[in-house]
Formats: sequence, structure tokens, C-alpha cells
Amino acid sequence: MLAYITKRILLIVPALLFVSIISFSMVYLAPGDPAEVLLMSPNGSPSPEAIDAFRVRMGLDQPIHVQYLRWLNNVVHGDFGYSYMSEQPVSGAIMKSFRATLKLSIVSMIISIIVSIPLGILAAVKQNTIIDDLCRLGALIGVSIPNFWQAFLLILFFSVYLDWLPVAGYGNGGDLEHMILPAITLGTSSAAVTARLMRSSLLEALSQDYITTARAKGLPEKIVIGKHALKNALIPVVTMLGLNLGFLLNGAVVVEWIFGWPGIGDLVVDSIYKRDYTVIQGSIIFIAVIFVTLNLIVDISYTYLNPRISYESVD
Amino acid sequence: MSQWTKNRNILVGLSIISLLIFIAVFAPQIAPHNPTEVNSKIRLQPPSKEYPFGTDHMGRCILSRIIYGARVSLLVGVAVISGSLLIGIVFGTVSGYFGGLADDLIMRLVDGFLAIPSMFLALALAGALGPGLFNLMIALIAVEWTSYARVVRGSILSVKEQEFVEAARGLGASDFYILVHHVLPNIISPVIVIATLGIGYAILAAAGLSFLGFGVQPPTPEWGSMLDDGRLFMRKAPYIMVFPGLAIMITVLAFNFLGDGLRDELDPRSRKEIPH
Repeated sequence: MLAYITKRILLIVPALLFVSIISFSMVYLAPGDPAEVLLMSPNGSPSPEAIDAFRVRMGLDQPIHVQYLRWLNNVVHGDFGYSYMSEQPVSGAIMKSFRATLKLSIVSMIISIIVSIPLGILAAVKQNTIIDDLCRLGALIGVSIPNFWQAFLLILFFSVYLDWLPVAGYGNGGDLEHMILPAITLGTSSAAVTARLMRSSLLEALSQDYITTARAKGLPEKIVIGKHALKNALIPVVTMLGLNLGFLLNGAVVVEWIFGWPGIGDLVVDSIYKRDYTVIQGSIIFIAVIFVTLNLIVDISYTYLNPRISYESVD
Repeated sequence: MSQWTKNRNILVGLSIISLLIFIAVFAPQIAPHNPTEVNSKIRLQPPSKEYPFGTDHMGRCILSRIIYGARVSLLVGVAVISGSLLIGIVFGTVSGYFGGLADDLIMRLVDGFLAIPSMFLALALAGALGPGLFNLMIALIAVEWTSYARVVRGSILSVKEQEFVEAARGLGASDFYILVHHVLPNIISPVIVIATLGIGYAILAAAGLSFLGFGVQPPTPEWGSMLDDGRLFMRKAPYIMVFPGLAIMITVLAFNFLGDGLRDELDPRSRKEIPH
């Protein structure tokens, strides 16, 4: 077990190194000289002197490998540099927006658990009935609906038509009123995935021998399902919840932008529009670190909860 | 084949997909109007007999734009999955069959790609490469290929040690012969399933990126960018956003239906363990 964990942690290093190269080279993938593009104004192209001055100020005048190593060294020390636009520290912007994302993700997660677990159990218990069919169709729609369209439908109904909730914004430090619609939108696909997993996992548990035994000794069905089957069926579901945080991060890109929720998704979209490369680079690295750590925790807890999995063969 | 037609998911999925392909191919014959014809006199008209889905902010027929939009979405879905499959199968095969240093290097590369949540990676790449259909596809292939490489590698690892492969090798078959005749046929099933689901995902992600302005550029009719167009007129003309979104959802749903059905049929393990 310990060897497995150590190996997994060591494997993170090359992955993150790769991420750092990808994010760093983002500036050079883009067509055009970043300094020139950034300084372009309605009055025309910037003067060569202004471009040179900007390059020196942002360190863009150094050879690429020097820039990369210097940048990487700073990143490892938690310094992501300064925004090209606001000239504020990137790390501050990332931390601030990540807090908003975390807040929204937690509420989405809670909503999605409240909806999906009971529905998954219901579908499994009522297997092959119309209720099961409806739950499964609902789950399939939940993963297929474009979140940007769902956001629009919710805004149209609850904000424009009923006028119950604000259209968008962060409100007073991200209050519940502003959080409901984005949280529902964000939580839908993870609710769908969780409900499906809950159903299949409970069905699998119900087909095991110990369930037959429990039934044979005359236990009421409620206890058979609630106590014996559910306990085992929840293991994969709980680990899946960790992975769902990854889903939530992906969804955050569009959902935060639509609802004007100042999270990390909104930050990335916004800085790509503005070509604010230091912010893009920093955000991608930061997200990757969070994501990789999350996956590591999920994997370890899965092998811990499920001793049947051999970790020697897993790479 | 007869048992496949009994699977409702496959049937529903295939029917919708066939219809979509038909619509995409015969778009010029089906569409009532020219999808890019601008007419400021008929801006933002609600659905009518002449314009069944209404007109957008430039007076273009929304139904016609949705019909033509099927071309872009299906093209992106199929192209992205073909590209990802090609890369994934090559890397996955080299990695799984030959192992060693090649395996290590390829798997570290896969880890690197998987370390960034897919939407962030696609967005950052699409943003860096600049807008356009081709760049959009590159960005999506970059996030999709890893899953094929992993599945192919995993399947090869499990097939490689089986007796019939040993037997073939004992009979003097070359690596290439064994790969093509014994290993690849055995990994087709899982690949078909994830490729079908992958097309749905690619269409959804492409629409999302186009919605943000990083994909297909106007005036090309594309569902995601049509939704973006409608955003500013959502109070006055909500139907601009209703129909393109519906089109995306139905298309993605169809591929998810098909993929789910295929998984039930092709993966005997899931059939036994997870009754449906």
C-alpha cells in the first residue's frame, strides 16, 4: 500500500512538469507577438520603443529557456508573476477566484447528492419499472444537456419570467440567492452520473450471495436494502463523488462565465479574451495541481475502501 | 444483429443519428431559406408559418441555420473522434504491446494531458491557437486521444498474455501479424463504445467552445454560436436560444443512447453484473 502511494505521488511530478511546459508555451502558440498584441490600441500599432519597454518589464526579452526556468522557479515558490492587464499579482487573483469556485462547487455537490442518491436507489429498487425507466432517461438527459443552454432556460424561467432570482452576479460576497441557479446548472451532470452509478452499484450489491442469505433468514426488505446492500453499494459512489469535483471544475468554465460568478472558470475565460497570459498560465497550473491531488486522494481512498483491488497491477 | 435491434437504446440512438445525417446531407434541399441571408426588415420575428423557428437578430431563418448547423456538429464530432482514435490506437498499441521505455514515456505523456481538466485544456488550446473550425478540432483531439490510448493499452495488456496469442507466437507469427489478426479484433468492442460516447462529448464541448467564441466563426451556422448570438436578445426573443440548444441536446442524447446500448450488448461483463 505504502509503495503504491509513494509511486503515485512520484508520478505526479512528470505530469505537472508537462503541464508547466504546456502552459508556458501557450504564449508562443498564439499567432503574433504578445507584447505587440497587448499594446495594440484603437489608435494603431504601438511604437517599437513601447514594445521593447513592455518586453523588458515583463521579462519577455530573455531567451525562452531562461524565461521558462525563471518562471518555473517562481511558480514552485507560489509566485505566478503579475497580470499583464491589471499588473496585480496573479496568485492573489487565483486564490480569490478559487474561493468563489470552491463555494459554488460545494453547494452544487450538495444539491447533486440530495437529488441523485435517492433517485439512484429508487431506480434500482424499482428495477425495470416505469420509475426506473424515467430515472434512467432523466440521467441520460442530465449528461446530454448543454450546461450553457440549461443556464439560459433556468434564467429565463426563474429570473425573467418569475422574477424570483437574480439573472447573474456574485451579490453580497456570493450569497445563496445568486448561487442557486449556477449551482443547479453545475450540479446537473454530476447528479446524473452519480444516480446512474448508485443504481448499478446497488443492483450489483443486491445480486450478491449475502443478500440472498439475508433474505432467506427472513429480514424485511427495508433492512436488506438499507443496511446490507446499501453499505457496500455506496463505496464506489463515495469515491465517484471525489471525481465529480473534476466534473464541476470543467463545468465551471462556462457556467461561471454565464452567471458572472467570479470563479476560476470565469477568470480563465476572461484572461483568454484579454490574452492575459500570466493569468492563464498560473490558473492552468493551479487547476492541474488541485485536480491531480484530488484524483490521487480518490484513488488511494478507493484502494483503501476496496481491499479486493490489487495495487501492484495498477499503474 | 437481431438481438441488437431488440435493444431500445441502440434503436432510438441509431434512428435519431440517421435522421441527423440525412438532414446534414440534404440541408440545401430541406432548409426553407438561405441560412446566411441577412434581412434587416424581418429581425427577431417569432415563429411563424414562413419561419417556423423564427428569425434571429439579423433576420436569418433559425430553422435553416439549425439544419445547416447539423453539418458542422456532425463533422466536428466525427473528425475529432477519428483523429483521437488514430493517435490513441497508435500510442496505445505501442505502449501496451511493446512495453518498456516506450510504454513509460507514452503513459507519462498521457498523465500530463490528463492532469488538466479537459475543458480548461481545450479552452486554453483553442484560445491560444485562435478561433476557427480546424483549431477547435485540434484542441478537442488534444483532450480526447488519451482515453483511447489508455483503453487500447489496457485491452492489449490483457489480451497479450492469453493462450491464443502465445499459440500464434509459437507458430512463428510476427508481432505485426499477431497485432492485426489477434490483438486488434479483441479491443474493437470497448473502443467502439467509448468512441460513440466520445462523439457526443466532442459535439457538446465544441458547441460550448463556439458559444464562448472560440470555435466556428460567423456567418457559418453553428448551434453553439447561435446560442451566443441569442444571448443579448433573450428577453425579447427567447426562441433564438431555445431551438439551437434543443438541437445540441437531442444530438448528444442520441450518441449517448447508442453508446449505452452498445456497451450493454458488447461488454458481456456489464451485462452479467449490471442487469438492465
